[in-house]
Amino acid sequence: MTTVESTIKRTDPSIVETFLKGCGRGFKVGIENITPAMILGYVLVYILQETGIMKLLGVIMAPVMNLFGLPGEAFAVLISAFFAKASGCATAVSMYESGVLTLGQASMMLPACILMGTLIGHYARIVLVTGTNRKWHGLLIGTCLLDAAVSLIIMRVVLMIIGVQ
Amino acid sequence: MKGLLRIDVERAKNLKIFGSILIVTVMLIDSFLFPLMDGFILSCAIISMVSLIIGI
Repeated sequence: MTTVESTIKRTDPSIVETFLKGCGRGFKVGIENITPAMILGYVLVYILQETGIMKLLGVIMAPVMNLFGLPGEAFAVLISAFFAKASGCATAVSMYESGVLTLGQASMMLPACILMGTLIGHYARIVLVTGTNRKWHGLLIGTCLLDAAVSLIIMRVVLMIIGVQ
Repeated sequence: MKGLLRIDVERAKNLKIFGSILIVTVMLIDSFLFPLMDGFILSCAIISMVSLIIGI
């Protein structure tokens, strides 16, 4: 074995080291990114419920959300997903626990939360930083919202076929 | 708008930590130590929400 080969072998991290490093990074991501987003979701639901905006949303957004087979209150999930993906998911769970959404309705919201999730954050970090032509800003945001709407329809069909309500 | 939305990573992290700790502390105090006024909890929740949104 040459000296170069032995040096390369010694510097190669073992599987355990790589695994532990990955665990550390995952923990850091969980603490720094996911936990605050989830807290935001719960805080948003609390504020909406305490101020009575949730009931108002339920009435105002009912015609739009009914197109997807959802109650008007489900719009709050989309609002919180707009700020953070995990926040949207946490809001859906919170609403399922409080009985506002059924299991099927909460599941329906998941792909929409992912597709339009953290839209404001990505808009600030990517679209504004890269200096994208202002003409296309609306289209960039609109595409994500359209994707979310399509995903809601697809999920509704899938859940109907499976038989989940 | 562009300047408003661009804050450095360290400040964003601090805002996230502040927002999370504020509301979690208030909720824990309300649940386990003594009941707090609803208005106070709501104010803390709003402050927390704003700092979390800016941070995230």
